[in-house]
Amino acid sequence: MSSPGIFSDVQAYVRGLNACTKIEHVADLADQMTRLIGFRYYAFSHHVDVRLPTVDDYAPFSLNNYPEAWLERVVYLKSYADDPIHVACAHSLVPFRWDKLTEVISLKAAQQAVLDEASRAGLHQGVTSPIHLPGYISGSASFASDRAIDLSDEILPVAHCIGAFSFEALRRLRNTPSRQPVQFTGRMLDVIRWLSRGKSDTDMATILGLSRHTVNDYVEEAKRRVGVASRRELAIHALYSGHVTFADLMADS
Amino acid sequence: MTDTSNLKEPEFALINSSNRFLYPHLVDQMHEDRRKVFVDLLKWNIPVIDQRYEIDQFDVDSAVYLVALDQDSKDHLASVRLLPTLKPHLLSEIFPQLCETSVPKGANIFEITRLTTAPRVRGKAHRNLLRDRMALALVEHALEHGIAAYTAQAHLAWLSQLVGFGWRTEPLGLPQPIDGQLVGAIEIFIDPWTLGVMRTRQGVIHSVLENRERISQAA
Repeated sequence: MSSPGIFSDVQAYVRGLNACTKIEHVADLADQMTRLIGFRYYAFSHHVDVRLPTVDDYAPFSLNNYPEAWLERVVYLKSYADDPIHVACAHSLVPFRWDKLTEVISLKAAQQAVLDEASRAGLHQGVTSPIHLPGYISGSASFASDRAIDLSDEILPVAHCIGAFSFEALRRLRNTPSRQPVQFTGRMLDVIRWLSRGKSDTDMATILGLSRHTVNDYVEEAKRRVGVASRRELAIHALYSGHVTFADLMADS
Repeated sequence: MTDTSNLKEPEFALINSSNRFLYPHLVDQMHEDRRKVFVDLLKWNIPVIDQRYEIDQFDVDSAVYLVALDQDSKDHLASVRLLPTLKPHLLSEIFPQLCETSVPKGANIFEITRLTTAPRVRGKAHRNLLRDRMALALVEHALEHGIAAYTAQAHLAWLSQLVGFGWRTEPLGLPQPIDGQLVGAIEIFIDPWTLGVMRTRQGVIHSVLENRERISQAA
């Protein structure tokens, strides 16, 4: 992959992003660009903590084409609290390779287990670029391959470029009519968070001081708004749309 | 977004070779704060005059400075230098390798450099506010003066912020290592809708530059 060739691809990608009018178009472009740079999967994720007050015009977002198997595992695996990529982003302003994660943070056994789990699910090798906009958002752009590839440090500035411009495109498009973000009431969000942590309706009723019937109503309404049939799908959607974050899942019961 | 309800909005001054004699204290503060940030803190290898002021070969008559100052004390809070791209500037003289093809040059293209927030500005919220208002000031200035685009270089950590103000940007090349850190150059385009988008994002409806008139009348 020659440098001049890659830059003109990045330039074309950014121009494509600037012309996008729908988030779906960004997804298409991102999928193509990801393959062009030698990866299979991408994830533009927003690490906001929904427990902090948010402003009306601002909604968290995530766009990815990660394998379904991994998305499901992340929600239900106890070790989701130890996602080392997420932790590393808080400790780095610059992009890093997953195989050099120990240069950013010291890996705990549980975090290594998450890496191994991700690898088995198809996220074998990758790079992540933290995106920090102080006062606004923190997030990351990740690219991963499902097979062994020849990773060079030269991919890091490319990953950052793609990530930074993609984030801006998503921020710009997040409220376009073609893709209204799903709105949840505060109470509904509480229920979704606890549900994502595996709590039963009875547990949630006790925790939130509501009747079981009311909790069930909230769950059903949330499922209806998102357009999914199962609680598991609701939890996955909430995690990857940013309504529930890793911080929520990490919080002590 | 930053909760700005209890933060003072800055005033702005546009300083050029014709009017800089009206702001001697402010200009001194700006160069001194530039020294504190770029030399003392960031350890850049750039010239310092009288052991106090950071001034380089591009701080010449054709340079223009957008300066944010405290409404009451008139202290320097933040500033940025604008250089005409038809004359020597950083991208053309020092870092042409940051551009994959040619360095953008034109009568309506200016390079923005030495974006500084003064050390006297305390707290993340206030610094974020100044950074945000400076971006708005740059757009208002561009619209007033027919500037179609700005070029800028930044370290990676700052690059995503520069790209994220709401204006349309494009990379000029892949980030390159400079003194051990990756630096990227971008072009910022001023479109008819840019100011509206950025004001909405920052939650402001007022002009940030309009305070300028009050200062020059008082001087």
